[in-house]
Amino acid sequence: MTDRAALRCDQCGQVDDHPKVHIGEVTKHHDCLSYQEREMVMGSNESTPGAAAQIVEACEGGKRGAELLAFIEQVHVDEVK
Amino acid sequence: MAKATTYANDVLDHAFNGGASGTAAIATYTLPFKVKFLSTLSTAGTAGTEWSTSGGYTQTAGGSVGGVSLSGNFSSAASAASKANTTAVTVTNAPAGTWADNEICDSTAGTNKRMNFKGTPSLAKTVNAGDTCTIAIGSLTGSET
Repeated sequence: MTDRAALRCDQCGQVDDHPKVHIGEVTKHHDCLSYQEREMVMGSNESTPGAAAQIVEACEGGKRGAELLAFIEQVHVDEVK
Repeated sequence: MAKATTYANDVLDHAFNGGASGTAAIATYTLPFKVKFLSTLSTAGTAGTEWSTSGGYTQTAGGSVGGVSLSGNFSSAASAASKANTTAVTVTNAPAGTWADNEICDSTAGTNKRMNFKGTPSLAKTVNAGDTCTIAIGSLTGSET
């Protein structure tokens, strides 16, 4: 993944350019969310309804970095078909 | 959140009304209201720069196009002259850039009407393409004094 900013996860402390969740000022990996944060994100009013749950669950299932980004892009392609 | 000047004027014209009879109607705002994600700050007089259409975000246009719909949100009635979002608001697969501010507008055809914005301080979040950006429950709060 090129031209991506390395951002710190406020939960695990790791600094990398993996896709992350920004909840206001807080930034975390999708699989580093607390239970409450996870439920809140997955229950959101979404720009692409249902995408957040798929992304969080994919990250929890082991997808990270470029693989997770490709999955995120594919989810949105599938949603607009 | 703070009111855009145009919206504040409509509220004032409704509340401070010298009519002799009948009912006092406020200017029409079309549902669903929407949240815009901005890369620069809004002010009362001018909306900040909205994210471009890219990835999972669609820039607002006339009618209900773009932004994130607030349909079903704000499910609790105002209390103690305050009201806040009861559901988070999320953009997935966000475009790369800066998340500085948010603004609520309506779905008027042609040109959406500005309503409320967060404003200073800037959130100033660096966002990578593909990130998820969430406005937490309770963060879209309005109050009257």
